[in-house]
Amino acid sequence: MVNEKPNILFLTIDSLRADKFHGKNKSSKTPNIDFLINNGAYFNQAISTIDGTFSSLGSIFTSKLPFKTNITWSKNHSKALGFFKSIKNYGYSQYSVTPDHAFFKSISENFDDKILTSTSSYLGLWEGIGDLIISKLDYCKKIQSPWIFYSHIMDLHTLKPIPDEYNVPEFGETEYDRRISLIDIWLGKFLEKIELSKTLIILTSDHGEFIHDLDKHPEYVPTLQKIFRIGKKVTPQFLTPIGINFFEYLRSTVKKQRIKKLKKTLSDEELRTFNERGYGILFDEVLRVPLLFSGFGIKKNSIIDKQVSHVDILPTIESLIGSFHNDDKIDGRSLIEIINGNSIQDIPAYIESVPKLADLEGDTIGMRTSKYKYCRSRKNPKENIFLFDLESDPLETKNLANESLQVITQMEQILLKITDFSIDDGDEELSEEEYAKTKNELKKLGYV
Amino acid sequence: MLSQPNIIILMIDGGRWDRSRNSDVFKKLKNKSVCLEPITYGPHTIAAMHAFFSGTYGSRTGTNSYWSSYNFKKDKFKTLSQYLHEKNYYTMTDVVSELVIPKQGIDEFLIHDEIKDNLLERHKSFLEKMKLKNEQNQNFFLFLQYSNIHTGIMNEVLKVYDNFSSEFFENKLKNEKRYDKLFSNAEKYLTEIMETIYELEFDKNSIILIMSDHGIGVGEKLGERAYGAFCYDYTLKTFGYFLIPKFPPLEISQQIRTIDYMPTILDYLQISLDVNYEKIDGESLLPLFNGEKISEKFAYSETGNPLNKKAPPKKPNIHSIRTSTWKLIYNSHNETKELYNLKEDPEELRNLSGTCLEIEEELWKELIKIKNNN
Repeated sequence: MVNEKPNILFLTIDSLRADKFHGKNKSSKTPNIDFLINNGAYFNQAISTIDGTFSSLGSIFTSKLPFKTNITWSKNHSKALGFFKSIKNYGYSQYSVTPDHAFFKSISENFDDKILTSTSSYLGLWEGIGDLIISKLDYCKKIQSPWIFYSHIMDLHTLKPIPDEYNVPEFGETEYDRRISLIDIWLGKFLEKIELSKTLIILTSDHGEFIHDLDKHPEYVPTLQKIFRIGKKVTPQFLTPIGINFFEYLRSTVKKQRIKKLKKTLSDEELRTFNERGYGILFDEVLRVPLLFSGFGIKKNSIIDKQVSHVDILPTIESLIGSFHNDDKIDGRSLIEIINGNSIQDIPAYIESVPKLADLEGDTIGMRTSKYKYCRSRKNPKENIFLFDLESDPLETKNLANESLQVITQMEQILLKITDFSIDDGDEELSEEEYAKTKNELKKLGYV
Repeated sequence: MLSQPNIIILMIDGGRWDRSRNSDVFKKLKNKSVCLEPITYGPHTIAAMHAFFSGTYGSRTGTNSYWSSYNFKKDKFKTLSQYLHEKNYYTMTDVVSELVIPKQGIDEFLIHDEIKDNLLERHKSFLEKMKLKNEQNQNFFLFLQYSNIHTGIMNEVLKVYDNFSSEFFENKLKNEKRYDKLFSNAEKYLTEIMETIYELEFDKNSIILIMSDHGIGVGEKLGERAYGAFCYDYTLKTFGYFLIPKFPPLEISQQIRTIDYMPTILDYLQISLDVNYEKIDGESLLPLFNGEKISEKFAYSETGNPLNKKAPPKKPNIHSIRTSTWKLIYNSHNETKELYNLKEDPEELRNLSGTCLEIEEELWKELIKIKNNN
């Protein structure tokens, strides 16, 4: 039982990949992240349940798999409210700085104070968001504990260029890496505002991302875009739809030619960087996310290789601050044992692709173990099957779908078990005959 | 000469553990057996017996309510009858309804009429029939349900009162007298059945288990006129008397569960669990019978309280987890919890939930883990 409730700083950084946060692929400068890792437990094999923001955050805040909450870009946002409601009832005051989107509005409905920032063009920390967070943390310092402060940071998602002084190799090889360096600088400023021994810091991301080299991107045609912008200004408005169609035609023609050319010059892995989330295979680039617990109650300096899932975050918080969430149908498990140096069982992580905007379900479902990644079409288990041996092929370049049928059968069985609601709920329907028979027998026995 | 012992199970439906403890008939059994007081998974026969036969909680097998006999996941869970049938045992059962136990692996599945049939004579004749099986050099598994306590409760309580009838709850003595009369009839049945067993010398070549599936309330808690509505000890605690040839009498005081019976019997018969089926929840008690120590396990139970309805729900809405000292009950229908110190408060009258006891959190985590099959 926790006697003293810690404050909580909960940060989700949109599109942050695990391999760019810590480890040999990282080229950013991150002294503050490194400090937090040294003072915490870092899971380098944390898997997001889905490669889309709100569904993923839904899994974090409910500890449920996305197909159970059906939280999408536009639907069921209030289902993620439970965590914040429970923690408020547990005595926490709540504050947030998040983008002004319906999802964040919904989860912060009962917050003591919230700041919702423009979504028309997401703002980076350096554009005022960082200062807003600092002002809120300053305020939190003055109020009575415990409090939870939540922020969703868009610095890796926004297309706005970062300040020139940071867009140099000193801060990382690519612009993505340099953005992480910039996030780290702000993180350092946030840390100055909190007392680490009394604050539990949780840092993760919603999903990973394919990191494009913009100059090589087949859809990025700057000259064409410039001409179109000028043309739009001088063309009468009623001709605009024709102009857009013409522009799309030109762009797709150029795209086809560029893809043809790129295929000759780039490797498969390089070509893969042009993929979009929600389409095709669930590669680790979009699912493997950093997960860091630091500060209050956390054993220092442990890098944990065990595969864990986003749904494990909520039960772990409960282990650290006490039981506050009265939902008995969660899919996650507490990671406190492994944080404390004990072993825990390997559990397959369920994964799925984000639905396209108007859809309720994504096309792909699958699962990941520390050894294999398996995914296939949601609708047809025989379609679009991918199996990767993550131990011998960590970059997921060789699809073993036609070679390892036995493994696929095993993985499919586990997947079916995970997606079988009846196992969780005992909710299997009886046939009409079975129902009538049961009712008749129960009547005879005096129960109905 | 038979190479394996037969298995005879006499299941006294609705037999209260406290009555067995004070009974002369049961005391005689105690002097010859390994005596247990296991915790049932379901405080009603259907869920309790499916868990017994599969060695697994109904939260995993699919049979977790009065309504879910047909939901039993027979492809995933292998029953005691199936194991024995595969070992060439002749398997025969006699129960009150086809809903009561899983049918898999049973050669002769019989249903008696609890009102018309004379269970004593009927069951004696089955024992004699089994003698013939042995003479033909075949082992048998015989499961006999004594359902007449249920019959009396059905006629005199279930059909007369509801779970909130003041007339019932204000007359506890009358309720106890009613129950004790029914229990006394069960003792007479048991005495005569055991005499037949001794006459046929099954005590020399058979494992005989006399058990109850759940207890029956006599007005302890408003809201439960008999059983199946709550998860309190007067229905969760059961009795078990294992008569095993050449085994010295022994009283096991640590908490065990009715789901442990099945793996114990298999372990004694040296039958390995089938790896093609799901792992079971129960664990063999044989080391305990042999005087070794095994760690106490949590006992999980659940039931469906009909609340203000006339029929029980299709899914459980009350769940409990128990150690020998503590019990946490989670009423999922209204999201409330109850915590009892069973040593200091065996009647479960003082709810300690929310009093900052560490055990509550620990039990809650275990309860959720089992309830969600993690």
